[in-house]
Amino acid sequence: MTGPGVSPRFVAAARAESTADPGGRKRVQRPIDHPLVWRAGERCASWRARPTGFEALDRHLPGGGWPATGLTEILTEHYGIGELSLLMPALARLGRDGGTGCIVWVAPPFIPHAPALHGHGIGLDRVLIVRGRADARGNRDILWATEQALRFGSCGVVLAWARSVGQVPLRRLQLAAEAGRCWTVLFRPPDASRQRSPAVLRMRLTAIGEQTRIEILKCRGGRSGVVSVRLGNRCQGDAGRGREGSPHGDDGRAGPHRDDRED
Amino acid sequence: MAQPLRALYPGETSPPPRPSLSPGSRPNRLWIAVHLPEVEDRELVSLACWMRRITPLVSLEPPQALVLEVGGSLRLWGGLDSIEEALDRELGRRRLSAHLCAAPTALAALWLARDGRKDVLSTKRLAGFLGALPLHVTGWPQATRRLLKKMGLGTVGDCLRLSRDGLVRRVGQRCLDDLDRSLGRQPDLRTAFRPDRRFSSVVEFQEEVTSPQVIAEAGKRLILRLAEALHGHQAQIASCRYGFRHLRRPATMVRISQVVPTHESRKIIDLFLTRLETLSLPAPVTALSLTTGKITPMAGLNAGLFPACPDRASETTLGELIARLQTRFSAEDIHGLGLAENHRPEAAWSEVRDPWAGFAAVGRGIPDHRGGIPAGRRPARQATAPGYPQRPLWLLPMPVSVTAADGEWGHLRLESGPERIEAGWWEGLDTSRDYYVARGSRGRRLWVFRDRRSGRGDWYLHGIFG
Repeated sequence: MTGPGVSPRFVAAARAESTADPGGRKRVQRPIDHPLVWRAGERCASWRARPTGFEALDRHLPGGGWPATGLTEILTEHYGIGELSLLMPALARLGRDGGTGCIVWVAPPFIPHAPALHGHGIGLDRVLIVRGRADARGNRDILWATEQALRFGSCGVVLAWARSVGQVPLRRLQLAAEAGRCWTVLFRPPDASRQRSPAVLRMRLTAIGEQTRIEILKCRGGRSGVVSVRLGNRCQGDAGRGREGSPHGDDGRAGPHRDDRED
Repeated sequence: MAQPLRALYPGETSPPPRPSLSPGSRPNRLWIAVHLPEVEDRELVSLACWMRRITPLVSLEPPQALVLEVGGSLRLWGGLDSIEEALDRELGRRRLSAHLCAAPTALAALWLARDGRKDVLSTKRLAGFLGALPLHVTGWPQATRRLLKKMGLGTVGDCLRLSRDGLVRRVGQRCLDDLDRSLGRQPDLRTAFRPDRRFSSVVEFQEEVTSPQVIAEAGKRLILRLAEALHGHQAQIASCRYGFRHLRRPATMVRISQVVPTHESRKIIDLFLTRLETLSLPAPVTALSLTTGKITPMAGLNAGLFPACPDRASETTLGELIARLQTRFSAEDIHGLGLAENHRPEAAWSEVRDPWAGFAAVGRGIPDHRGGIPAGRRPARQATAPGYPQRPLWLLPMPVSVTAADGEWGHLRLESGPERIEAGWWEGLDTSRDYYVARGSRGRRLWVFRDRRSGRGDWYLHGIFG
């Protein structure tokens, strides 16, 4: 797992030092030491990544985390399966690392609950919320607002919820995110997976029992695959849950770093 | 004890008493009076606005004159001649006939100008030149002048020869004060002319216009005018009102807020063009007007000593972003989040109306050696205390009834709880609820409560663990 400040060259070198990849094959000890050279068998080191806070996911993503810039698409049919909890460690770290970027929420489907965000360690003075409307013009305005926030370059993360995004607006968002050096997370319904996408990372979320199944549909410089993580039962600092305890008794052990990978 | 004026002030060579607080009291003061026999008030004010580029101390002498202190501007303008030349040129451009006269005191300059005399630059010879002036230049009341005339006094010099006591007794203190001021014996404290800082301007079209390009060009022209005016006042604006005038129907008024006050035409034009993109006008436009909202003094930016220090740039850009978003979203749709000390979940948070202010406070915080925000900025609230019950990331605007087990949320399985929240009775919002974490259909984790105040104990969904 590497921090966002580590140069790609260093990452490449560090990876070359590592003994074996999960497949068990012995790696080439000295790859051509150039950041622009990417070896097909290796994770792409060109992402400046922000750690997700979930080890299983970090292991799977090239660079070891969320892409620092560009478009990330999260396809989910329902809310309440951990789609926000998945982002919380990265968002909290964004503020802690001294970044001045704010977190812009464009058209969230419900009210982001301030005490919970605060509990996750997110500075509320960095949060800017733009309420959207549900009609067609509202959808256009949502995309417009997202693009504006991206182009401004002083936002750390833009989270946007859009009903339908055409091919051209999607491309615009990706370009704006790259131009503004900003991380964008676009939440979309799952039928969007049929559409081509210029996004850097694209994943579909489903809940299976206690776990959230993350199906990585597209990952620039990485591989698609499936990761399961346990989300949602954890607050910042392991604050714990209700006094009564849960019928499953898994509160204390439910940290995200106890995940396993079923790739 | 009656004393002649001259005896009281024997040496013309001695410097005049120096009053305090008046910019006109500099030793090398020099006043120009402009006497305009036929001028309207509006023209006079506009001329005074223009003259502020020569000197900050312009003083109106209604009805027909104004005086300006140019002693401090001589070096900048390269001498009195070039100032008078510039004034002449401007008066010519405005087609105003005027008489200019310079003198060491404002009143002397004014009186000399009213009589059409030449410049008097020497304090020594001032009394002599003033003495020859007829009394009507002083602007004293008609009754006073008639009284003086009956006494055989026809010129300013005649008055100067009277004893001070006698003059005061006959015509009052004011005339004596005027005489003293005109000779520089007494400070002449003047308030500088302060123009009205509100700006209003119109561009009228030759015909009815529908093309957005033409309207945009007109808007740009207006904003450039505005920027010039703002520069003149060293001021900035927070909002503008644009009026799109139509034929035979009321004008469409559009207010654009800058959020962060600015004086830069680039930013104002940018917002105007962004708003114009989505603006639908009911009819062709015959004229475009621009009126400013509140004008505030220009806030200077402090440059940082160390370039790496967080500066105000991030605050400014966030304000600009919000201003931009407000061209399509209403101001209520854009807000920040805050915590409130309340146990009821719907009241435990608040919308923050000026999120950029809080953001600015963070941006200005000096980072510690690890580059983080000082810990003192982080509010220590109960929500982070260990053992505090979990809160969902999504809150529903209103609790939704989930009594029907086969509804949208499916069959609910309670996972933990209850957490009882009883509060609000002192506000007339008596609530008593048992909150549970429940698992709904498709693995959704929900925050539901049982309303203990309703007799049947209804179940409601209040939040979603996103």
